[in-house]
Amino acid sequence: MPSVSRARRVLSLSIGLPVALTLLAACAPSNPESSTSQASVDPVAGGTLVYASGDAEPTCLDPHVGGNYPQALVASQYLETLFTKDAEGKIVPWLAESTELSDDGLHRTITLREGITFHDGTKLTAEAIKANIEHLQDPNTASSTGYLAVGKIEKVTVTDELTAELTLASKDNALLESLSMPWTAIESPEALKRPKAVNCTSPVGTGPFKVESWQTQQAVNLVRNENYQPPVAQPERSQPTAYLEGISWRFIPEAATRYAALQSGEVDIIDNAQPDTIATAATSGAFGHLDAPRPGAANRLELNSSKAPFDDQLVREAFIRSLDVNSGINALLFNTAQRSYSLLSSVEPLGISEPDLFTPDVQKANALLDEAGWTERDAEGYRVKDGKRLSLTFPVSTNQSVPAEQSLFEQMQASAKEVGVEVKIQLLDLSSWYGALAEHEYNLVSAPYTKVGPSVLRILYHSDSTVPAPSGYFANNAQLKNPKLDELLTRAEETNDEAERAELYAQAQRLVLEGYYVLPLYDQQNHFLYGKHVHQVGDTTAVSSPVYYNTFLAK
Amino acid sequence: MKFLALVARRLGATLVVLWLVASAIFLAIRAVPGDPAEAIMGGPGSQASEQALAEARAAYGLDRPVLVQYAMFLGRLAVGDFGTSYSLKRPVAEVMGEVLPPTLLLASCALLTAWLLATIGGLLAVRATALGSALGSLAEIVAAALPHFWLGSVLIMLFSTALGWLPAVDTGTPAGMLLPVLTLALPLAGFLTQLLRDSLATALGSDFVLAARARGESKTSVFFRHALRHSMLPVLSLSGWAFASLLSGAVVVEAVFARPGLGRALLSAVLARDIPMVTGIALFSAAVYMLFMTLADAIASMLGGRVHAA
Amino acid sequence: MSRLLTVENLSVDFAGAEAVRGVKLQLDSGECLGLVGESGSGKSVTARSLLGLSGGTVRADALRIAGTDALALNERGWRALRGATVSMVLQDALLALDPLRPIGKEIADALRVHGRHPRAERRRLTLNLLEALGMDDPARRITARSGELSGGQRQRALIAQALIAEPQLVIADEATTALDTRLAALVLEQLRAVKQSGRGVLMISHDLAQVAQVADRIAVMRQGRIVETGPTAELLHNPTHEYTRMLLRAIPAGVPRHTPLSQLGERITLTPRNDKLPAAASDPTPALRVENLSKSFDGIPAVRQVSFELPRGQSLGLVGESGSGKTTTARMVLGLTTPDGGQVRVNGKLFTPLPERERRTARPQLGAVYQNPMASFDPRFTVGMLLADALSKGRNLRVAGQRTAITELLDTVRLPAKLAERYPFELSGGQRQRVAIARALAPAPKVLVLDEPVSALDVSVQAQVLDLLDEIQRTTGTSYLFISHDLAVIEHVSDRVAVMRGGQLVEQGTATQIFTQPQHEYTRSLLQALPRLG
Repeated sequence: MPSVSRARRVLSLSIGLPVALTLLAACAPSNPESSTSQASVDPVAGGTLVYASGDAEPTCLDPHVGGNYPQALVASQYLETLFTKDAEGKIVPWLAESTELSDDGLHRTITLREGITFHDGTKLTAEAIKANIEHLQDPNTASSTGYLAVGKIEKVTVTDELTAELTLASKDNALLESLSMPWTAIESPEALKRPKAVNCTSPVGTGPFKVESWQTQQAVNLVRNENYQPPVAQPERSQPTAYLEGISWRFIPEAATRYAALQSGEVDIIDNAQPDTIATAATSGAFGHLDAPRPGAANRLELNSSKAPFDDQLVREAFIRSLDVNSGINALLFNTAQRSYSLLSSVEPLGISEPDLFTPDVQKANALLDEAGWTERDAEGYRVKDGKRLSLTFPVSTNQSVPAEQSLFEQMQASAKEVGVEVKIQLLDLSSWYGALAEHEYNLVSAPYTKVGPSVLRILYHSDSTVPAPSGYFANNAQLKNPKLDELLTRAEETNDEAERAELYAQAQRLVLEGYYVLPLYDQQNHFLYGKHVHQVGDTTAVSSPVYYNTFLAK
Repeated sequence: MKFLALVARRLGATLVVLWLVASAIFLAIRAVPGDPAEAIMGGPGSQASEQALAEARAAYGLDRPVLVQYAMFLGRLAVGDFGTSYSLKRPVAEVMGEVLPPTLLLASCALLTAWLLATIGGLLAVRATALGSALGSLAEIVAAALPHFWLGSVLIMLFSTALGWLPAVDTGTPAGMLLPVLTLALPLAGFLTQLLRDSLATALGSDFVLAARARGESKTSVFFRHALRHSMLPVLSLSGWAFASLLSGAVVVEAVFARPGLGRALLSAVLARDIPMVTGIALFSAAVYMLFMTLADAIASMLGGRVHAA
Repeated sequence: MSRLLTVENLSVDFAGAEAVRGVKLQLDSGECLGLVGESGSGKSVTARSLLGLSGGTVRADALRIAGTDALALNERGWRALRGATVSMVLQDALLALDPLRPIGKEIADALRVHGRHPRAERRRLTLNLLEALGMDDPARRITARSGELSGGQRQRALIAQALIAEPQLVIADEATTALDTRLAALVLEQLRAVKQSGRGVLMISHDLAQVAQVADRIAVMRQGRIVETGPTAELLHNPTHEYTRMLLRAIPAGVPRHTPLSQLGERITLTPRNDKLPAAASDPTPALRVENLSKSFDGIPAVRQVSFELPRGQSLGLVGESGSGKTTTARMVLGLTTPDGGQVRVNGKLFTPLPERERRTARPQLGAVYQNPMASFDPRFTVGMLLADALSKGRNLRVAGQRTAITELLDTVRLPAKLAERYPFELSGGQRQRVAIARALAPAPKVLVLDEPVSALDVSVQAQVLDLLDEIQRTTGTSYLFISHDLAVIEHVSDRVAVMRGGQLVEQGTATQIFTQPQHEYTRSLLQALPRLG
């Protein structure tokens, strides 16, 4: 969507890349539908932005603990990462100034920028890198996302005030991407020494805002960091600090109430905007819209190839061919999501797209099913083989699938019925849904995964990921155990040659797509709606969470 | 003397009820799929290590035999130790202490509003024509049947989005409380008005009302001076139950209006399989029910003694 | 002397159903008009329409109250009239005064509503009036609620609230009904005083005897119409209408024992007696013997050392005012309440105190009839089922196998056999009470305990039931323990009389002894209060 390119444009400005690139970006076409080009208004300081999130309130404001997207959204205001993504999706240094990798690929050196201080006044030194990584790896922290991200780091050595050396247990070319996510953001080592409960309520970082207070179930109150120094100089800005005086971060789980609050002006910006409200806002032009798809995997349906009937590729392809996803997106999601034919998010440069594999073809679907031996039909019209009905169990998490998406699944259910396939949709709460997956009680599932970089493919499709964690969780829902694929993914993680990496990942993706193990739907949706008085919304982090450093309020 | 005996009996009954509720929760949570240790570690998909899960189990006593866990559970409850919330990692009692006041405020305002609306409804019923009476009765039934979720959303659409008169979410001002209070109060008012109308009919048929009118009092004056007090008895008795049931209505209303409170805390706790929190809130609700019903019964028996003089 | 009330051709309809038709009334100041009728006669509706409170559609050729044309009044006009020009005294001060309010306020309301006098003045007037009415220590009493006062004080308060605004016309609607004899006498005295003070009194009642004590003229109503009007003495001695005659005849006061009060009674006296009647003299054992019965509740004695005997085949009338302990005594006799002390012997054999299992076999010897049969009937049962239940001693409700016995029982109380299919709510008050008697007689008891069996009945129905009871006693030889506050009824039905007061028996003897030569002063005061038709 065009809004993304605008976001990249602004981000590129703040990275301080060569002027040519800046000029190039500035010349990028702006979408006339994008309702927020208020470039004519001059920034003014002051005011508190009221943000209403539709996610559940985090239990800890420190994204090291646990590590989910709501935490990332809020922490992006007060924490910064060592690296980040530029307009083209390339990883560039942020708190870090430069980085080097040893020839054997097992030692990465990171050098920090000078003169950056934490909210508590302490200086950012290489000690911080060590302290943060140790914090993530400490079982007491109970980190899950960040923990996995730095999983291959064996030890951290501080070589001088601003330089640290990370020793890796094995080659990890996704490390920098991992260090660009808010879940590995850098906090003050002094602050990390405090008890966990204290750090959870007031994490200390280097960001343009800091946590002033947190009234549970009401709001997280962020205030401007008056001593903020952007890691990369911003010469066009009159002052380095944020324009906004503060942000009131509220939680309104009910979508209707959240939108009503935006309409009445009680809140300035909301996330988790629903397709119908986005469409309405687009036609009325009453609100600005930021479309920031999350990185990592696209939103896709995975087919459990470990058991019947999806252990048969013919059935898998038939099922996928029987569905017309695009008309569903049109009717049910009001075209607010763009169809994806890739395993990876559209913000991932290394993603490949294979639209032809997924063209709906009901005739072919029927032919394939016949070929696979599902020729008989029962009284209700469903196909039967050896006395068993062609039935698919589809657990759906109401946490993750918004009502519009649930409707889309129901439409797929109807389409599948046309070719004689029964789809049983089970709406479950998150815990029960995890339980169903852990018990292998599914044939179809939609399980989003947010991670920066194509290394997410390894997590999702390497056979190692079919081995459950102690909690029973496994990420490889398609149950792919393909030695060739494993080899491709492993090599892709180890090589330092960019071109080779791209090629290996492309081959891996093609293998998965052509095996019809996955039906890509669209990017992981991440929509924000905001009032017209809110200007310069669009800067995002590597995980597509907005940062409000450049945002200002003006009538 | 009788009054004290009543209270003492009720206290005993309350303890029994609480014990039954606690046991029921204990059993129910064990019946629900999902590993409590996982919930402690931050929910399923937290990818906690085996060691971390084992430590969590040991810390919370989840590795002991069921009967031992039950005994520990009851023992802790008996001394008022509700344990630590799995997801919030804070003492349950502390969290409940924080979320209780807004819910109590909401419920109290809703009860008072319901009483006010019911009184107005009763007065209208007294003065109404036959057609008006029938319409009023219909309105009461409809109001009593309105689901909180629907009503709250509709009120937001009407008064916040369409008319812009009131805020949709809690702003800390009285105006921000108006819609949530109305959402809780309207169905209850419908129910209470029906009750009131019933007992008003009885009260208005009594001789002392006739005598009052024979002295020259107007219907309105008779309503306020005589009939209302006599017909309040069933309303008062049921208000005990009503207040406690408002707490359960608060779960929905707090979710719709994004208000902090006990209901919202319960919702999150259930979804996160936060057993100590769920236990704490459920027991508290049971205790509130018993308390308010006892209070209402006590008041009713004090008044009732006078009303049924003869 | 002025014309206070002129009513010509009054009719009142309730949703098309006619309740009152063609009523003509006249009342002057200083006069009392009695309006007498049974339930359903329309007398109360008439009375209320004089206050604009009938609740129905009122039409009349003329309706003038103290000079005001009431037909032209709207609600506001009526309100001005009520309490200040015409007021009402209702039955039973316990019900007619708001039990939650102090009586002082109830009384002063009549003044407050009409906007007269500031509060201090109202209080003063209230106190004056109560004192004039004979209430002791009014200053303390006015803060009390009606339930906290004695019967007499309550009645004074009730009259006070009707008089305080000095209305010209006072309507007394069943003002003495259900009151103890002495209280009723007090009310009658107060009404007389009101009349003598120059006001007009319209006295509504079903009790002709009591109305006759105060009224100068009486109008008799039946089914919404006035059947006869005339000066009291004329009406009582030379009634022209048959209905009036029937009413007069039904009054038990002064009617000797065994003399029928109703036409029904006349008919059944003519039927031959049951020759199988066991001679009363052959067995001297009393049917019931009560010795030193005592009972206290929460430390307060309700019955103290009560002893009496009920000879076989006779009726003992137990009379006393409310609170005298007669019902508690009855319950102890029936074995429903355990006495603190004393004994009850039925037919010579000890009955109380005995553990229930030992006396269960003796239970059929005792039967009970209560004041309000509806309360003692399971509303789900038909009459047939109720009787079948009693006949099978509670074992079953099968009507089919006992049809003969059921019909016989119904015949005993002169009810048609087809009534067995009806439900109690479909019957009239009199029919219900007869069914209750039939049920009580089902196990052929030796003793029947009747607790206020006719108090809730209209006078004509009461007459029929009393006659029936008399006949049953003569044919079956059942002994009756007849409990009532109504001295006139007791006088008519009893062979022996026992007078209770405050839980104690103050006097007992034969009926003749008690009524002609009362020894105890309490008995004497009771008899004085008994209204006699002169």
